Amino acid sequence: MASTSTSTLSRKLILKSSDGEKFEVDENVAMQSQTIKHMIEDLDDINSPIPVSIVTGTILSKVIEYCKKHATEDSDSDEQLKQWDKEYANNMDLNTLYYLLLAANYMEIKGLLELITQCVADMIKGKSPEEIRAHFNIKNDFTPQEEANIRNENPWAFEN
Amino acid sequence: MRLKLFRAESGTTTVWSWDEMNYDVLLKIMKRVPLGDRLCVACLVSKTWLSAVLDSMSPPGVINLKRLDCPKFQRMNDRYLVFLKRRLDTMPVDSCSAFYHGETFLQEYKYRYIAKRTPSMQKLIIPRAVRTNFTFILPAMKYWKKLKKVQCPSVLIAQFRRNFTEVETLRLFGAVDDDIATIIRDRCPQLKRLRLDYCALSINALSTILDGHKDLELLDTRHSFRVPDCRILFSDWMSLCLEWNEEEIRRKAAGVKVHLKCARDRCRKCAPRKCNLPLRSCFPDLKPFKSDYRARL
Repeated sequence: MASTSTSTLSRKLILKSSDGEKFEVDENVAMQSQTIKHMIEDLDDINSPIPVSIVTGTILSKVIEYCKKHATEDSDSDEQLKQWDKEYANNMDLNTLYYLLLAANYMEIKGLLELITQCVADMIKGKSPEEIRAHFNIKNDFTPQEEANIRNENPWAFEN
Repeated sequence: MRLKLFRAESGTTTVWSWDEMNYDVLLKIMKRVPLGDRLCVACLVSKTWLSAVLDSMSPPGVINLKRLDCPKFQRMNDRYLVFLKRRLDTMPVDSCSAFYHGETFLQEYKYRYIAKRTPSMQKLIIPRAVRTNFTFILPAMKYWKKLKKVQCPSVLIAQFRRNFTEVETLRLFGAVDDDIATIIRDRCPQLKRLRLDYCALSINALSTILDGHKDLELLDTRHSFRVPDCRILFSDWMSLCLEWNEEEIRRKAAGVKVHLKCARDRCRKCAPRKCNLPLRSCFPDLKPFKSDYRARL
């Protein structure tokens, strides 16, 4: 993440999760979140904790872990960073991915959102509808008739 | 260390139902799922997922038939049309405002079906690749009377002169004869941007159009050429390009904010015209016509 001056690099921000946990992070780490970036712009006192209201401490720590890694990307090659991303995503269970997605979406962290959505899309790929429902804990809310309609290959026939 | 703690915590809770995932996020996920999985599998998971599959295929309000051109996608064409119809059936009438045609043609009644349910269509984009072919879209034109932005073969406007009264942006390809020029002059009072690039224009066409539209925001006449008779486009005559009435055009186009012109004889894109068929000048990137060998869907 590019910084305009050295003073921005050293500035610290405090992020406060929904359950009250506080995290001190470098400004350039936090600024990867567009939401926080905008919040800082409106903030008079930079030392007061910035509330990240819908994200719990456990999830926020994972988000910060990602942002820290990507704030210092100079030290790693693209290849290494990709590998790190892969391991980071693979180490999450499904519930964590669920909340990470919500957090990344709320905090507007593009890279993280892309990483996790791709990870979930890969899980969907190649599975049957039943397997997907079981994996993602989804109830089938179609009637058999509705399901047959969706499977039907040619609904345009004889219609005007 | 933190990771372990995390796992232990979530191990005791039940897995969240992904049916309740924030819809915007679900849509972002769906866009990354390969089309085959989307159209054959993910759509059968639940009602919410079905909506996400439908919404992931084109932005809201857009009917996009360009997808049917992709060779990789051909196996999926029928499925795609099934979903297109489902979308039309389940959305409120009139929630579509843009229609992008590709090089693949549908059967007539499908255009009618689409148009009947989208009477407020504002944007109609037909690619230059269909050349002067326009009959396929006729069944739809009966319903589309509020068009604001149109790109189409020039002949279409001659056939449906009443459909262009609200058009603000118009791009034509093919030949613009006196009749079409008069329609543009008299029947398109809202016109602000007119593109006639690569068009064959009859002797008086441009002059006629400018008589009715003195203060266009944009006029694009790049690589267009002047011919004594627009019908030569379909003959195998050598093209007979006439000199431009530059002085007259300059005077009439004085109020046009932006007039895009090329260097005419010195333009690299126009230069090969002299030794080529006129049709080739209108459609310089002419490729083998896909619909020549592909059945209507």
